[in-house]
Amino acid sequence: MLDFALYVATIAAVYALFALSLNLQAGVTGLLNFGHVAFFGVGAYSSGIVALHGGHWLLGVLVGVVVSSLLGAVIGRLGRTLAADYWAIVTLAVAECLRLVVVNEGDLTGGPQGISGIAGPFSSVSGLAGSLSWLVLCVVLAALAYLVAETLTGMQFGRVLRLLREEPMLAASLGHNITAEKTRVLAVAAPIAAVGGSVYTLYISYIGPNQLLPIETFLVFTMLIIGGIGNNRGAVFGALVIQLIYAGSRFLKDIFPIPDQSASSVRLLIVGLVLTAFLMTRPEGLFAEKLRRIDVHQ
Amino acid sequence: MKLQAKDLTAGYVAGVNILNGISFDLADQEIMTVIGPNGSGKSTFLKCLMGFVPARTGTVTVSGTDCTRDAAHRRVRRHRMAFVPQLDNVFGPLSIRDNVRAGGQYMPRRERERRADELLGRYPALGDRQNARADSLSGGERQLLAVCRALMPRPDVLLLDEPSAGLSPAKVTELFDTIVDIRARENVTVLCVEQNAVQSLAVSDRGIVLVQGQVALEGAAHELLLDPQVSELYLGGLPASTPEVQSVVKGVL
Ligand SMILES: Nc1ncnc2c1ncn2[C@@H]1O[C@H](COP(=O)(O)OP(=O)(O)OP(=O)(O)O)[C@@H](O)[C@H]1O
Ligand SMILES: [Mg+2]
Repeated sequence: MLDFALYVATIAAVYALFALSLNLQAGVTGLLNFGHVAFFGVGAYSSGIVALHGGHWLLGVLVGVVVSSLLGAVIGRLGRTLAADYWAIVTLAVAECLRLVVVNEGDLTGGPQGISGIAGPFSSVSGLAGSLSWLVLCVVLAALAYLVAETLTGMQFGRVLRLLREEPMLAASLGHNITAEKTRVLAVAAPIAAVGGSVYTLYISYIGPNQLLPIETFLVFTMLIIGGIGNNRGAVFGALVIQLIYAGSRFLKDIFPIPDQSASSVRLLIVGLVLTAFLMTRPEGLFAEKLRRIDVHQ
Repeated sequence: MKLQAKDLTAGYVAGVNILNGISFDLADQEIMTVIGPNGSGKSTFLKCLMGFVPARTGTVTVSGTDCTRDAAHRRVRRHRMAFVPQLDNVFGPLSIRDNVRAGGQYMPRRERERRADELLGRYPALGDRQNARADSLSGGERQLLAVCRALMPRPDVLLLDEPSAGLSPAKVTELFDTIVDIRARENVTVLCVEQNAVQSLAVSDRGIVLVQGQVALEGAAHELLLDPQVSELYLGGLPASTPEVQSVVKGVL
């Protein structure tokens, strides 16, 4: 039971990284990145592939950070020619392309079976000490990501990002290069998610293409909506809530006669119900964005 | 010529042009008023000149340089254009001074402060309470603040979208006097979209009547003021959006 609790807490910390990253994009800047899972995937597979070739785990993390940042910048540049809604669709397509490449480039990625037996930093530490080490690492990383996100959103840069979201025309009239700012925020946010992907892969020592399904992106969006989109604390909290729902749903089958194969569908059903409940009763989430509203009417 | 457009067409939806071939020249330090019925494309015209709505055909030239393909921020930073959008977009919760400074984001710090001092010193309505929140200002003062923010980087061309909207007649006259004063002090060329045609044309050098995305009439401002069609449409007190007026406007074409 303690092991399970540690596992849930560790995974929640990893998801906090994804949520913080997406919050910078979708929450603060208003960039609806429906392919957010691609950044996770780049981190995860960088770690997996480097491990497969006997490289040090740190190298895998580093490769993931660099490649994801480049990918983020490229996706951001697409916003130069695409309107926001088309851009959102393209991000989804990019993530799906990445997943299909992963499935089909078996030599590099292990194909549909994925890569297993990946050695992480605490592979030699067994038992409770190992689990605790992982928890500490992931919580420290999530805390760092939180600090980075808070700093970025608190700075002048964050003000500009929110202005881009609310009044893009006014932002450009003040001389801000909209495409460049969007590209920059994606290049900064992507590595946060990639580190999450790497750590996740090293932690469970496996990565497969099913972890790159679009549902993962929408799960992170759900975290943001529950926690309060635009608020970093909300992102962390949303990640925790979703992980608790996921963890709790395992015990449902002890109470209700749910067949094993439907357990994951039931989980998603619960997440969907919670999401709907929030959208209907508290659309601003648990922590509303700390916005100083711009009052355009008198 | 300071600002020049040739055969400008633009629109939002594929296949539908809102601007249908607009051409005009504006000499250095002239003030030009653009009038026209609601939905005739006046705001779109300004957005196209700024690069927010891309031109489908035609060119926009500023100070002799073609900027048709440049993004809006380049027109602001390189071509020295400034734009005050139709809604008053001051940052209510920020101080008046911070609002002015926001216009000089890319100026060196000391230069920015000096310029903010200069502008705030010129307009006591703003300068005397520069640390108060901008949403404590009246409508006219807000408009002035938005204009000051746009003036921060010393633009050559100032585009205003209905700066007098929602102001009382006395304030409208005051605002246009201020615009004339700004032209003299800042050596700026002004293009102003307006509903208050009389007051605006009265201080302008030239005017354009835009109807369905085309230049229906163009000329010296005082001539437009005397033009029977214009006076009937805009100066006779009939709101421009009524069907009768619309039909007359179509007759102008
Ligand atoms: N973002 C947009 N997307 C699609 N169509 C638009 C958009 N903005 C304006 N239009 C359309 O373009 C036409 C011209 O609009 P525009 O705002 O330029 O008119 P206007 O002359 O400024 O009107 P007003 O006097 O009301 O400000 C209108 O038919 C309007 O419906
Ligand atoms: Mg308009």
